[in-house]
Amino acid sequence: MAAHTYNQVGKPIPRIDNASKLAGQAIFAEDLQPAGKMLHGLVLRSPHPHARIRSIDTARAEALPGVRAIVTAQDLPDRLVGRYLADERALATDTVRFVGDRVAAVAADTREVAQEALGLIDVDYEQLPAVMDAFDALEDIAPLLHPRMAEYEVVAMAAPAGGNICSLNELSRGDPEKAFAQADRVFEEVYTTGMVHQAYLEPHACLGIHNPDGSFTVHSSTQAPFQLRGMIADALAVSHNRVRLVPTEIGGGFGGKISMQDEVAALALARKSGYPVRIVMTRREDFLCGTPRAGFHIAIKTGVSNDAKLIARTLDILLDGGAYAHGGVLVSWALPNFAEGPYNIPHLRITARCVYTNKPPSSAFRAPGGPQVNFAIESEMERIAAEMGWDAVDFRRNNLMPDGHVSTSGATMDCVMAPETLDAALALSGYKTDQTRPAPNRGRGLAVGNWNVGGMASAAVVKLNDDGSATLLTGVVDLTGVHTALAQIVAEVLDLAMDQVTVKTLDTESAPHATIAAGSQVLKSMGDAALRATEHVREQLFALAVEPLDAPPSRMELHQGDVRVKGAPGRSVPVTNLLGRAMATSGPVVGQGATGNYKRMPSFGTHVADVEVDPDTGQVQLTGYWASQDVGIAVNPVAVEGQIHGAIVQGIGMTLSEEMIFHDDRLANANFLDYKIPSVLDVPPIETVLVEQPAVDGPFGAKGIGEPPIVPVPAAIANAIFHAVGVRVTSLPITPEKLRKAIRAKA
Amino acid sequence: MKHPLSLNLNGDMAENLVEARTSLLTFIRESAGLTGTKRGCEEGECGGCAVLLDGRLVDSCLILALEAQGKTVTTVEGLGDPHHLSPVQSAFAESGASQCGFCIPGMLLATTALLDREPDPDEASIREAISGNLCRCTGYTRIVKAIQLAAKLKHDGQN
Ligand code: FES
Ligand code: FES
Repeated sequence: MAAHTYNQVGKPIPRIDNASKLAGQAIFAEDLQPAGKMLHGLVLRSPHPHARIRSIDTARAEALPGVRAIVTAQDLPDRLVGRYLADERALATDTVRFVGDRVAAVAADTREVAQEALGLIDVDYEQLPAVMDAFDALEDIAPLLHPRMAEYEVVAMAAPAGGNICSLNELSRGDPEKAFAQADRVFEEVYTTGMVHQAYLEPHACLGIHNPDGSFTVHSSTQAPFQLRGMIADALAVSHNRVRLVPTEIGGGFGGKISMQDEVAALALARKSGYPVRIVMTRREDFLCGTPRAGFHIAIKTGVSNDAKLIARTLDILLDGGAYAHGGVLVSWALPNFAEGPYNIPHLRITARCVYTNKPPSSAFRAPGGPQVNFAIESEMERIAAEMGWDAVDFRRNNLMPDGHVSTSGATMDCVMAPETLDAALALSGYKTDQTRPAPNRGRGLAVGNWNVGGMASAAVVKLNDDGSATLLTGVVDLTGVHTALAQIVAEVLDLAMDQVTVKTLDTESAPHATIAAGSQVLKSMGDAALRATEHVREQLFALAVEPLDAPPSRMELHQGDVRVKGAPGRSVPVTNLLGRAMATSGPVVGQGATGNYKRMPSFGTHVADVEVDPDTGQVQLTGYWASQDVGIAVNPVAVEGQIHGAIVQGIGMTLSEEMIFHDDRLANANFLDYKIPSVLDVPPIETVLVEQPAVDGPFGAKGIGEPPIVPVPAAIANAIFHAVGVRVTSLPITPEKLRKAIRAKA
Repeated sequence: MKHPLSLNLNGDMAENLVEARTSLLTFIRESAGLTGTKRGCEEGECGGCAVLLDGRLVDSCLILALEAQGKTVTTVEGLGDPHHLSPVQSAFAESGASQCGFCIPGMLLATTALLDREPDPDEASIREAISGNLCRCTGYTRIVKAIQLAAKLKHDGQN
């Protein structure tokens, strides 16, 4: 453990939003109640996975008393929008591509009236054949979901490749085919993973307002205020400053609150009716229209030499992107960068294809693509070691990437902590390779995970108040407790107490540009911006102190409200004095800081799981869980540990129970009864250890932490099951039914 | 048709006309304007809407408002305000048990109900008591710890 010498950084400071959240006073989007009349909006969604809209007749619905406005695509400019590929509309014009696609929207005095009105809108659909499977989407005879894909504007990262392939990405090094021919053994396997929903507890909600000056205000439960603002403005064909996006408190996101949902519909209804319109999704709607984690099909081929070296690997990954190119494209783009795993493999090729299907658009979910790929990689490591008679830990250790490793994309990886986290998890759990099956039907499994965290641009402003306290103005929302960490950073630099720092989340018209609260990047991106803005404040204070202290800034330090000369405690001047001088001369002290897009940082973690399997039912009980995580420096260890706990439990869900199941082309489990996320009864005791080694360029050495700890979970559990009962289920989730079948097949 | 409803909400009388089909959750949030009680599913599956009805933990989305006629309802706002958190709320704060906070009101009421009937619960009872409350953020680990601390704080407060 690195020793901290800080006052605030590294301390387990309670979240600054605790009081409001614990007293039930935090305002989430559904809690917003504008002054005066507000209407309730509902969206009419396609009941078909794929259909052409012949006509929409709203006359009967409009006649219903209490209905104030109905909007369809006719009320919007003819605009295609998208984050990566401009392939969708805020409301469908002629084609719907998944059950839940937005067709029309109603605003009424009450939710009940709006609901009744939805039933009175007559849409004449011509059903089209649906593509519900990623492999089917690749067939020559597959119906094309987006026949005009070639004409779509590529906004970012997408590499459309014809047919239903909305992105094709490949990276390689060496010559894998030649290396396979020379390998002592070659292993091949296919792993698949289900489509899983983020299942945040707060369903999507927004409130749209059409302002007297013709501009728009929209409150939304979003992780991505600036990105979303841009998409909404584009869909409305207005300049970005004409849409003020006010982010609300957010009841969990995990990547599922980045895409545009009903915001444009709410604004169009507000414009047409003249009233603010709030649209709140039901849980069912959120399951139908959310943007889940893509299901993966991963063909993995590995060549090893007899001295336990990985010499070649190919990964051919097919992702189910769903109806529109949301984060699936981002995942496809990022995959070749991280799918090499934590290992150094000289001959490697990673191919990712993201295809359109008539399912909900898949997008980001905590380490998008990470746990899926790691499930394949770390299952294979364990299997290969078993078949070759190698010690599985030594085999991994033999092949872990070294510090300074050059990744498939050519980037140099600094701060590679793979061996350290492996050792830490072994020590924490007491893992011994010869004791992975302590008793019949009990097993212990291990997996090493890697992930590349964050990097997009942010700016921040820190203003000093007249008593020397500070306010950080930021446009980033707080998903993880990161605002507390940002406050710690500001307090540290200015030597303030925590209650002398306020962090204010502002809307897109007031705040400087901020990155999205995703990709484990806020602490690095906004943290750097905040750090620089605070240093800018400090610089100004030191400049003001040159005259009264008769010393150069290089000799100054801040100490509890004073600027003083280092090593000469008697020579000091109160910050309040300096602020007085500033008012008379240079003006108020305001600091600004910014950071550009930056190189992604690798992050590692090793997990160990203990399971007990009932061979008759296939039921898996987790009995213990241990995790190490490379964190750079933990700015707030309680928050970091909380992220690890949450990630592990989400990982348990996708490993053992969660999957969006489609029957007859329709989602069959759009509720919490049938889509089972872990309850407290499914969670074993969890122990964690933070591996601290300051990251070269994180603020105070911090690395992002939100996503990485979900990466090794499926493989750790799958390996534990393998040791318990000697069978391997290669498709997630490992349901009791699948496991029972596998156990029977072996017997 | 609307029916008169009157109940004791966090110690105050709350009265209004409600439709027969209005849920207690909708009454609390929209008629009484207390938005601390959360709507996570409206199907009795998440526990976000949990309140105490005459001291008993219920999912307010599954109960009709009229069923609470003349009864006492406690919501998160009735536990303590931001400046005077109850021992249960303080324990959650100190333990780092709240992340997004959306599930927390329900968790706090489940905890309150538990500690009222079992001041000294073991871990199994704690897990049982919140097994109907889903949380997607915390992995429950710190929530369980918080409830253990809450029991201790309440205990200490009484001595
Ligand atoms: S909202 Fe009542 S249980 Fe989910
Ligand atoms: S803290 Fe977010 S759901 Fe529990």
